[in-house]
Amino acid sequence: MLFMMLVTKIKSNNHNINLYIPLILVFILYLIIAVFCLIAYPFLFLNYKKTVLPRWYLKVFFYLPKLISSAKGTYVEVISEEDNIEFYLK
Amino acid sequence: MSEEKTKILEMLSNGKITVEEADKLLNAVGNEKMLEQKNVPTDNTGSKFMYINVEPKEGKSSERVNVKIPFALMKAGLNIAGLIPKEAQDKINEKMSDKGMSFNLSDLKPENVKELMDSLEEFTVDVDSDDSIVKIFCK
Repeated sequence: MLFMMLVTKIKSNNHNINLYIPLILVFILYLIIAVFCLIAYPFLFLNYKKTVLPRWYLKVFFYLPKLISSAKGTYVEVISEEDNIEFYLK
Repeated sequence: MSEEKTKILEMLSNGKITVEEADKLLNAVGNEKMLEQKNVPTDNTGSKFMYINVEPKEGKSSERVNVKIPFALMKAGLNIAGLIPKEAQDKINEKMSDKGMSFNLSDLKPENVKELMDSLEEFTVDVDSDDSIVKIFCK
C-alpha cells in the first residue's frame, strides 16, 4: 500500500484531467486514525457484550491496508462517444 | 492475421479442435490483443485477474467498458466475512434463508475461498444482446 499509486484519467472533448494520488497519503491518514483506534480498543472490552459491533468495525478497519494492497492491478475503463474515463491502481 | 489466429484455424481445419473450441480460443486471443493494444497496466507477479468487457455492437452507441479485478482483492473481500461477528452472521444467514438462499457465512473457510478462486479460472460468461457483447472471464 505504501508505494501504490491511484491514477484517474478523464478525457473529454474539452477537458483532460489526470490525477495521480500516491496512497502513502491515505496511509498517513490511516495511521493517525489507527492510533486513536488502538487507544480506544482496550476500553471496548470493559463492556464486552454491548461492544460487539464497534469491535468488529475496528477489526475491519485494521484489515483495510491488506484490502487496499490486494487491490493493486485493479483497472476500470469506460469509453463513450464524449468521455473516456480510466481508473487504475498500480 | 496474427500467428495465433492462423494456428487456431489450422487446428480447426485439421479437426484437432471443434468449432466451439476454436471460437473460445479466438475470443481469448482477441481479448488479449485488445488489452495489449490498450496498454492496460499489468504486473509480472503472475497474479490472476477477472476481466469484464462490454463491447458495443457496430452501429450502436453504447459505452465500452473494460474492468480488471485482481483475484487477491476478491479473496481479501471474502476473508472479511470471517471477521463478521457471530450475531451479525446469524442475522445475515436468517435473512438469506428467508429469501430462499440457504447459505451459511460461517462455512466460508479460507480453504473454501482458495477452492472457489481455483474454480473461477474456468469461469466464462458471454452475453450477446442487441446493443452489446459482454464477456466475463478469468486468467
